[in-house]
Amino acid sequence: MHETHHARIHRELFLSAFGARAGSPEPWVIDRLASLLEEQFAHAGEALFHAGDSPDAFFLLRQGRVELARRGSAPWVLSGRSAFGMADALLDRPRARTAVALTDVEAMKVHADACLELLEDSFALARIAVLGSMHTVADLEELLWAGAPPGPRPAPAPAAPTPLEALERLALLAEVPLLRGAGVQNLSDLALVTTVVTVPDGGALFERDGVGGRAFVLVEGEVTARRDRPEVTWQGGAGEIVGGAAAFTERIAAWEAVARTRVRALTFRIDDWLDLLEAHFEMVRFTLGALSLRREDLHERLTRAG
Amino acid sequence: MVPLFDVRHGEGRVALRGLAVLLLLVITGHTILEAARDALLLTGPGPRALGLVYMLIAVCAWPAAALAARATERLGPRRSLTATLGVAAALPMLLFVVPPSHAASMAVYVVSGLIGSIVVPQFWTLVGQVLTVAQGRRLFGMIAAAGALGGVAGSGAAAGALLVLPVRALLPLSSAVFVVAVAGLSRARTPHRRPSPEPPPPPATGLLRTLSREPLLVRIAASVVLSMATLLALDYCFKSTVARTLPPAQIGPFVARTYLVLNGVSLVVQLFLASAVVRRLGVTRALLLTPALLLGAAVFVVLRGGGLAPVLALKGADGGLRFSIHRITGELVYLPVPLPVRQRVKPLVDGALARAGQTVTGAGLLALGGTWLLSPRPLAGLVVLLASAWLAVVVGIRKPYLARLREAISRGTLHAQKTIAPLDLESAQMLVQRLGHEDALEVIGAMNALCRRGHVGFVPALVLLHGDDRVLVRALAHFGDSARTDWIPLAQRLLSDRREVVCGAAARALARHGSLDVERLTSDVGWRVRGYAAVVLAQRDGAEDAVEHGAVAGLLHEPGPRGAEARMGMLEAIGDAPPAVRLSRLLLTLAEADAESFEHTERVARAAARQRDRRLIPSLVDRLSHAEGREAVRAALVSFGDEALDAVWWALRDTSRPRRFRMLVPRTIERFGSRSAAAHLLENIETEEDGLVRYKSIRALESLVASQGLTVDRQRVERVAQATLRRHVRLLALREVLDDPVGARAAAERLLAGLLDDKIRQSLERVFRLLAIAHPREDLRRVRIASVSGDAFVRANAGELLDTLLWRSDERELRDLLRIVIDDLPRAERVSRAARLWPHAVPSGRDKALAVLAADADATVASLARRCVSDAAPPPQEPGAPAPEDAARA
Repeated sequence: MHETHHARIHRELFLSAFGARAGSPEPWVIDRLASLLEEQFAHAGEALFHAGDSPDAFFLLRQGRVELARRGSAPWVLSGRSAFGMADALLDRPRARTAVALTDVEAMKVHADACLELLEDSFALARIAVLGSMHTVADLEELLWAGAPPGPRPAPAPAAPTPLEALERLALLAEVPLLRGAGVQNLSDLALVTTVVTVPDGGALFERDGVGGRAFVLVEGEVTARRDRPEVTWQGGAGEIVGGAAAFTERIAAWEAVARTRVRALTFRIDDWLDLLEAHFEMVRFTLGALSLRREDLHERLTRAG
Repeated sequence: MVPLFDVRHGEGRVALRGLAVLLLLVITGHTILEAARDALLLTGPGPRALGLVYMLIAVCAWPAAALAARATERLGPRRSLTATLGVAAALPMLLFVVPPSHAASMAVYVVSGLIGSIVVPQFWTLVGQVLTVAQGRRLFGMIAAAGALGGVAGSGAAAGALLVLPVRALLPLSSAVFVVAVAGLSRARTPHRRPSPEPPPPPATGLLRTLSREPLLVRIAASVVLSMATLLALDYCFKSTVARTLPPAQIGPFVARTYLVLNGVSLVVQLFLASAVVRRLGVTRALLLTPALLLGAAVFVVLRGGGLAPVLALKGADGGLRFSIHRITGELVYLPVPLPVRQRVKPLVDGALARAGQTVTGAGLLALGGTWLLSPRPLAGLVVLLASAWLAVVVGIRKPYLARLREAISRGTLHAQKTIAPLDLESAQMLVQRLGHEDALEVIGAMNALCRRGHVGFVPALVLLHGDDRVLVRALAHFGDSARTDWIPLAQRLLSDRREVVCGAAARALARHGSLDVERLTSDVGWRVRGYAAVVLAQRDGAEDAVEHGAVAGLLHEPGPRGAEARMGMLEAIGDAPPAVRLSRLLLTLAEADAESFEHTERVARAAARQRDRRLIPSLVDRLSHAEGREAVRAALVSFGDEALDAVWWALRDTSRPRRFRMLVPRTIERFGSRSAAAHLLENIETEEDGLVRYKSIRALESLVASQGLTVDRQRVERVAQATLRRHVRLLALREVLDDPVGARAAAERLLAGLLDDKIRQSLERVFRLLAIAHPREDLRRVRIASVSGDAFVRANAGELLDTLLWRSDERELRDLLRIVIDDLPRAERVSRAARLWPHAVPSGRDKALAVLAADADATVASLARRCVSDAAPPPQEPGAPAPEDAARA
C-alpha cells in the first residue's frame, strides 16, 4: 500500500510536468491518467517491446534514451520527455519497430484501451494530443520542404469549373490523406460546412496573418506557399491541404499562399473541424493515427536525405 | 431458425472427420474391451470379485490420472492422448499374451476401467483445445453422437467376433482398434491456436490448491462427484427393480431391449436436440436439466412406491440425457477455464475423482446389502437426495462461470483508482523536498499533489519567494483557499510586484481572506487589479449597489482593452466574494459586456456560481456552445442544482437549437450526477430523433451510471438496445445487397457502402454501450473489444458471456440477435439468419435496397442513394436520335 501511494505521487508529479508542457488538461484528467500509469524500467540493452508484438500499451519516457528500430530503416532515438508506441495502438497494427533502451530507462506505461477511453471522455486532452501531433508533423514537414527546390511552373488548368455539390466535396475530402479514413459519416458532416473559393492565376489564396483560422483543400490548380524564418516553400495540387499539417495550427499565420494556376479550393474553419472532432471520437482516433503514419514517413525521408 | 447441423466452412474436416472419428474409434475399442472384461470376470473369478476390482480401479485411478495430467501439461493434449492410446493398445495385448488366470481377468477389468477414466477426459481436453465454446455448443452433440455410434459398433463387433472367436480374442481386437486411433491421431495436425492474452498460469500445484484458486472448478468437481453417485444409485435402483420384478429368463432380453431403446433415444437427443437445447437455454441453465429431470423422475418413483414403470421412466431420463445433454454441458462448462489449468485438472476430476465418487457410493450400497434400504423406493429416495445435492451445486455455477468468462476476455488492464490515497510520511517528505526543485513545473506538481490530499499545510509560505510567476500564482491560489494566515505578510509584499499576474493573484488570495488593503496597491498597478480593487472597495464601503460605487462606475464603462481588463478584474472579485445582493446588478452587467473569450466565460461562470445568482442560468446554458470555458460553465450549472438541470434539459429538448449545441448538452446533464439526470438522459435516448444527439446521451448515461453507481430501468434500456440491434441487422442487409460496386456506379456506391459500414460499426458499438448501462456491474467495454478480437477463442468467450448474461425471457430476442451478430459467420449468412428471426429486415434486391436508402432519415445516405439510382438510370434520349435498340439494330 505504501509503495502504491509513493508510486502514485511520482506519477502525478511526472504528469504535471509532462502534461503542462503539452497543454493544460483538466485536473481530473491528470488524476485519471495517474491512476492508469504503471512504472516501467529497463536496463541498457533491454527491449521494451518487439516488432510484431500486440500494441496494448504506449510509453511516456521519463529518463534515458530509447531506440526504435526496424529492419531496412534508420533507427529513431528518443530522449527527454517524449511519448512512443501510440501509433501502433491507434492504427491497430502489430508493433512496427522494436524499442530498445540505449541507457537505463525510466518510463511510464499506459494501456492503450484505457488511454483511448480517456481521450474520448476528455476532449481537452484529445485536442491537446491532436494539435500537439500536428505541431510535431509540421516541424518535420518544414524540415523536409526546406531542403527541396521548387518545381517547374505547371500547365494552365482547364476552363469553366462546375459547382461542387455536397457529394463531390465529400468525395474529394475522402481522398485527402489526413482526412481519408475518418469515416464517410464524419466527412459528410465536414463537407456540409465547407465553402468553395476560386483564385485566378497569380492571385493570393491567403496572406501572412490573413488565413483567418481556415484550412484549404485544393480541388483544382497548383499553389505555392511560403514562410520566412525559417525560409520554407511548399508546392501542391489537387487533393492536398495548403501548408500541410501547419494548416491546423496557429503557425499557418506565418505563411502566405499564391496560385500558380487558376485554383479552386474547399475551405473550412478549423473551429468547425475541431467541433467535429469533439462530436466524433473516431475522427480523433483516425487523425492521430494518420499523423503517426505521416510522422513515420517524414522521419524515413529525412533520414534518407541525411 | 438455425440449421439442424450447424457446421461451418472448415469445421467439417476438423470437428466431424477428425474428432468424431477419433471418438468413435476410442469408444469402439473400449466397448470391445468392456465386453471382454465382463465375460472374463464373470466366467473367471465371478461377480464376487467386482467389489475388489472397483476398489482397485479407484486406488489406481488417482496416480494414473495424475500421470496423465502431468503428461498433458508437458506434451500437450494431442501427444499425451496419443501416448495414452498407445498404452491402451499395448496393455490388452500384454494381457492376451499372459497365461489366463483369475488375476489376469481382474487385471483386464482394472485396465479397462482405467482406460475409460483417462482416455475420455483426455479426448475432451483435446477437443477443448481445438474448438471454441461457440463451436462446442454447435458441434459437441455431433461429436458425442460419434461416441454413441462407437458403443454400438463396439458391441456389434464384439458380438460378431464372439460367434467365431474365443473371448480372449477380443483383447487383440480391442488393441487393433486403439492402434488405428493412434495412427490417425499421430498423422492429424491440431489447428494452431493463437497464444491466449491471459497471463501465464501459476506453477503446477496439487489438485486441492488449484481448485481453491478456481471457484468454477470447485463446483465442477462437486457436480462430477455427485452426478456419478446419483447415476450409480439410479442404475442400482433400475437393476434391482428389474431383478425383483421379472423372472430370470426374461431379464436378459428385457435389459437388452431397454438398452437398445435408450441408446437410440440418446443418439436422437445428441444429434437433434442437445445443441438446440444448449443454444436456447445457455450452458449454465442446460446444466440444470439433467439433475432436475432425474430429481423429478425419482420423486415420481417415490410417490408411486417403486414399480417397474416409474423406474423405467427414471432410467429413460438417465438414458436420454446422460450421454447427450449431460455430457455436452459437462464439457462446455470447462471451456472458460484456462487451457493449462484444464489440462492439469480435468483428468483428475473427470477420471480419478469421478471414480472415487463411484467407489464410495458403491461401497455404501454394498454396506446396505441385504437390508430393506435396497428396495426400489428407498433407493429412489437416495436418488432424490443425491440429485437434489447435485442440482444445488449446479444452480450456483452461473456466478463463477460468468466470472471465469470475464477473466477469459480480460487482459488484466489496470483499473483506475477512483479515490486518492492518503499521504504517508515518506511521500510527504519527498514532495516537500520537490518544492525546491529547479523546474517550476515540478514545484507546481508537488504543490498540487500535497493540496489535492488536503495537506496544503506542508507547503511552506516561503514558496512565495520563488522567482517563477507560475509557481507564485499557483501557491497564492492554494493559500487563498486555505485557512492559513502565515503566508499573508509575504503575499502583501507581492502586491507591489511588477508582474501583473502575480500582483493580481496576491490581491485575490488576500481578498479571499479579507486581508486585502487596497491602499497598498501602487498607482502603476495593472487595470485588472484596479478592477478587482474597485469591487473590494465597494464592498468595504458598504455600497448598496456596487454599480453605483464611484470606483466601480469609473471603470465599468472604460473603453478598449483597458476597460476589458478592468471588467475582468471585477468578475474575478465577484467570483471570490461571499454572496451579496450588492454585487448582483454588477454581475449581470459584466456578464453581458465584452466579447466572449475563454477567460470571460470562465469568470462569469465562476462568479455566477459563487453568487448563487439564478438569473444567470439561461445565459450559462447558452454559453455551453462555446468550447472555451465550457467546463467552468458546466460546474456553475451543476452548483445550481435541479433548477439548472431543468433548464439544461429543456435546452436539449428544444430542437430549434443548433445540432452543434444540442450534442454538447448530454455531457452537461451527466455532470449533475443525480437520478433525475439519469432519468432525463434515458428519456432522451428513447425519444431523440437525431442519431448523434442520441449517441451523446448514451455516452453520458453510460458515464453517469459508471461513475455514480446508479442503476436505471434495465428493461427500458434493453428495449432501446434491441431496436438498435434491429437497425444494425437492417443495415447489414442493405450493405450486403450493395456489395461489389461495378463500373460507373462505383464512386457514389463506394461512398454509400463506406457510409453504411460506418453506421454498422457505430450501431453495434451503441448496442454494447446500452448493455453496459443495463448491466453496470459487467465490463461490457471489455466484451465489446473481445467480440471483435482477432482471436476466435476470445470472441467465442465474449459471445458466451453475453449469452449467459442475458438469460431472462424478456431478453430472448436480444440474445438471439446478438448471437447471430457476434458469431463467426459470413455477412450473407448473418443476414439470412437474422431474417429468419425478423423477416422485415431484408429488402430483396439492389433496387429495393436503394429505394429504401433513398428514403432514409439521414440526408447523406438518402442523397448518395438517389445518386446511385440516377447513375444507374439510362441517359435521357436526345430528340431525333434513334433509340438505343434501333441504333444497335442499325
